[in-house]
Parts: sequence; C-alpha cells; structure tokens
Amino acid sequence: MLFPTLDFALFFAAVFALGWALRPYAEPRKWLLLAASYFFYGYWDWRFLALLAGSSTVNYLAGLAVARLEGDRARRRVVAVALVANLGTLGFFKYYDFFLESLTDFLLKLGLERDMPFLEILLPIGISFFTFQGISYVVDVYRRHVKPVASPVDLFLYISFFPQLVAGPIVRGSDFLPQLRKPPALARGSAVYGFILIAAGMLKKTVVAHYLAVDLVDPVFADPTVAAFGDLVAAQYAYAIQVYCDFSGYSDIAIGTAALLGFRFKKNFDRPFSATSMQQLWQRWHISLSTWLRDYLYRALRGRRREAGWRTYRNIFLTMVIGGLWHGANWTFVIWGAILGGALVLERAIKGRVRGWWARLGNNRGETPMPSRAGSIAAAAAGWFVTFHTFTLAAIFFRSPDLDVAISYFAQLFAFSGTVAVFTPFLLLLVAGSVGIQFLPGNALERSAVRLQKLPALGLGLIFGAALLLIEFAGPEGVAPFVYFQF
Amino acid sequence: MDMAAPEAPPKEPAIAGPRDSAAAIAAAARETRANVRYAGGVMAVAFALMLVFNSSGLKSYARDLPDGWVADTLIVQADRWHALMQAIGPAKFRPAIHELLEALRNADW
Repeated sequence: MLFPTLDFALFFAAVFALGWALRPYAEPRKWLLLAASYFFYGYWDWRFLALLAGSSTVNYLAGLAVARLEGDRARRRVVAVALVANLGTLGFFKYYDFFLESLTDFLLKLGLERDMPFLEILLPIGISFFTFQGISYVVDVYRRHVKPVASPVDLFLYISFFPQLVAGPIVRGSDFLPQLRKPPALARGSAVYGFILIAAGMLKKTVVAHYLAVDLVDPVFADPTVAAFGDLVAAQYAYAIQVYCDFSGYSDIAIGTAALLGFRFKKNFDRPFSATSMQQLWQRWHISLSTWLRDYLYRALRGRRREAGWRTYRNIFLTMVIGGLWHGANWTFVIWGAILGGALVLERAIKGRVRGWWARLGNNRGETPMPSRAGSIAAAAAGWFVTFHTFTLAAIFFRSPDLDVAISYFAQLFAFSGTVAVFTPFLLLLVAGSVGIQFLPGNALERSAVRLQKLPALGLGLIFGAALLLIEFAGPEGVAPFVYFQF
Repeated sequence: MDMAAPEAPPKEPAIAGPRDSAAAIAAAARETRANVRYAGGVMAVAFALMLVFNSSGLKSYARDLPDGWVADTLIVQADRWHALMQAIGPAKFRPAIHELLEALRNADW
C-alpha cells in the first residue's frame, strides 16, 4: 500500500494503537510489528512474502554462523556464501531477462537464433533495499560492529520493518537492533517531528514531484528533439528536483512514521542541492545508500590495505559505476554513474593539488595563508554552480529511457533553439523554491518541532490536518508510485 | 562520498537497563503514555478534519473498494456524508483550492 493513501492511514492508526498498547510486553509488540510489516509487504504482492522470509532466514543463520566460528577464513567463507545468496537473488530478479536479451542479440549477430527461456520476471518491490540491509548485517557481524541477534524475530523485524521496507532508508543493524532491546519510548518532540516529516514528505511527493513530472519533465523527455532551449534547461533542473522530492519525500514519511512508533532513523537526505562539492553532495544525497556503497563496496574494492593515488581513484570510480548499474541494466545508468564517479575523482585530484600548492605558498611566506571572506564566498558559489550542474546534467542520462533519447536531448540543448513553450511561472516557483529551501539551516524542521510541541493536541492536529488537506486538494487524483520503487 | 570515514565500530546507544531506578523507569513509562495519547489525539483531529473537508475523497475511496456488502454500504454512507458536507459547506473548499491551483498552473509569462 502506498504511503499517501487512506488504506495506509487506517493501517498505521491500527498499528500505532496496538503497538503502544503492547508497550509493556516486548516480545508480543515485536511480533505485532513483524506481522504488520508482512501484511504491509503482502498487500503489494503476497507471492513475494516467501522471498522476504527466505532472505531474512539466510541472513539470520549467516550472522549466527559468522559469530560462532573461530577462524577468519571460515568466517569469510560464510560471508561469501551469504553474499552470493543475497546478490544472486537480487541479480536474478533484476538482470535475468536483460542478460537473456543481450545474449539473444549477440547470438543473432552471429547468425544463431535460439529460443531463450524468458521468464517475464516481476521485480519484487523493495528487493534491493532489504537485500542491502541483509548484507550490511552479515558483514557488520563479521567486522564485529554488531552482535548477532539470537532471536529470529529481531532479525526478521529489522529486515522487514514496514516504514523502510520498500524504498529505504537502508538502516544499519547497529542503529536498529539496540532499539529493540530498550523499552519503547515516545518523546513529545519525536512525535511532533514525525508529523512534520510526514506532512513535508507528502508535499514533496504529491505536489512538487508530481507537477514537475507531469507539466515539464515528461513532455520534454517524450521528444527532446522538438523542445525549446529554455524548456530543456528547465527540465534538466526539474528532473533532479523531481527525483529528490519523490525519494526524499518517501524517506521523510518513512522516518516520520517510524518516529511515531518510537524508532529513530537517521536522515536520508540533507539539503543536497546546497552542496558546494561533489563529495559534499554524496554526503547529503541518499545518505543511507552512499554510505552503504562506501562501507560495503568501496571498502571491498580497496581491500585491507589503505591505498592512495590512482588505486583510490579507480575504486571511487568503480563504486559509482556499479552504483549506477544497480539502478538498472541500461547503458544510461552506467554513463550516469561514470560521469559522477569521474567528477568525484577529478575533484579529489584537483583538491589535492590545490592543497599542496597552498601549503607551499604558506611555507614560502612563513605562515599559513588564509583566504579572504570574499574569496571563500566566491569559491563556494563556484563550487555550488559546478556541482549542481554536473549532477543535473548527469541526471539527463538517468531519466532517458535509452542512449538515443539522452543524445538527442544534449544535441537539442546545445542547438540553443527557441525559448520556452511548456515552462511556466508556476514551474519556476516549484524549481526555485525547491532549490532555495535547501539553503535553510539543516535543523530547521527539528527547530520547528521544538516550537510546535508546546501546542496542545487539538492545535497541532488542526495544523497537521490542514496541511494534509491542502496537500490533498493541491495534488492529483490518485497517487503515482514512488520513482525508486522500480529499483 | 567521504571515502576517508573512520572504520571504528559505531558505539551502541546507551540502553536504559536495570541500573536505572524503578522510579525513573516508571516516570519514563508515564511520559511515553502521555505522549502516545498526545500523538493519538493529533491523528484523531487530523482524521476528523479530513472526514469533514475531504468527503469527496471518501466517496472515491469507497468506489475503489472490491465489490461486496462492505463497499456497497460504504458507498451509500459516503454519498450521504458528501451530500451533507456539500449542503453545509466544507465540501466546497476542495474545488475552490483546486481551481486556484489550476489558475496558478495555467498562468503564463
């Protein structure tokens, strides 16, 4: 069931009431949350409940085995088996048909025609997210970052907890599992913050992301060859903002609903469009995935020894390319990852040289030179401009269904033909507002929660209800699926 | 991506355990119960507002339910409720706000 629907509201109200009624009884409460999570997942498609349970079982048993084995080689073997099971399942569902299509094309080019066993595989919703959580649990047990759980209910609940099950955030075992061992608690500020996040998430998803998609991005990308220059530029920005609002909106609702159940999740997006460098952007965009890629992919590529120079650059680049490929079996995703990986590498290399030059300048002068305030502001502005445009231009590949559309987009963009045809003042308001709001302090919502928690329930209920009503009235009929459900 | 992040295992947050006094634990439980009632109250008020001002949404929801006596009953009741909300006024807010938004969407340079 989708978050911004009456079905979910009724489901959540029931889970909230029953969950807190069971507060004094830890085990029954966990069973209730687990049952609710399986009901939530089964509501999409009950056929994949066995997959969810199977994935949880593999990771639970692997965690126990890794913890009980003495020798490092044996422990690594168990981790390898768990990785093969997790990634093999993910790979089968995501890439099986693509692999067969590519093989068929290849054989046709060789003059060989074969009937291939295409299966028209449905991609189980959320499979990437719960697979990544399972992998992080097993690896963290191996690295002794987290103790293995003895109770299967705890592990099953960690993997399947419904607020973050289908589209993240990817929660670490070290963050979630200790919360199951504490008596559940709800602070007034957390509850109010939860309501604020839910309203903010709904606004971003059902209003901002929707109208940017329907009124600008979809029409322009449907046929970029006839689009005006102004529309192409606007759609370039708008698509990045659409994905941000859609995805961070889902994360906000997930974190907000978890907060109302007494669980604390970390932020998944932190004003990424105010980043002044590519490194900073990835510290702020889909934080749970970028840190997952850093901790479980980059570190695996790097190996045990810390490396420097070209090997570091290679590993950063490969991590981003693989991250791109995870989104789908399409060259557009690979190129998207390669552009962003290349930008990260280039930025790192340039920064290293600038730091070295700056240090030599200081040595020559006998003191560390400090940049002027104007110089710092100019550098930050330039950094923001380059970062924002690198990200939004790369996103053209991400959005394009194939390379032809992406190439025609760039060709038409650099033809500088026409002004605007579909870009309106309303869309400018959405684009500028979405970027401008990112320059507010990072704790703006938390500070709002501190102020609002002084209100009585009736007052806050009226504000929350009015916000939901305005969002509902401004949004379209029905709810479009979240963009990241397809991954 | 901060590739140079430290690799030390994250510290587990402090757990309220047996060392906390019984009084502190009881106080924490009372506070949670009060906050749960508070959050429940907020949700109840929001639900009530949605029911009053979004009666057309309830009508659509009822019609999307699978066929059966539940859907039939809900459709009849939702229609009656929407007619009442239209008569007394709250149901008129939705089309008014939607018209305003459409006017904004259609504004040109």
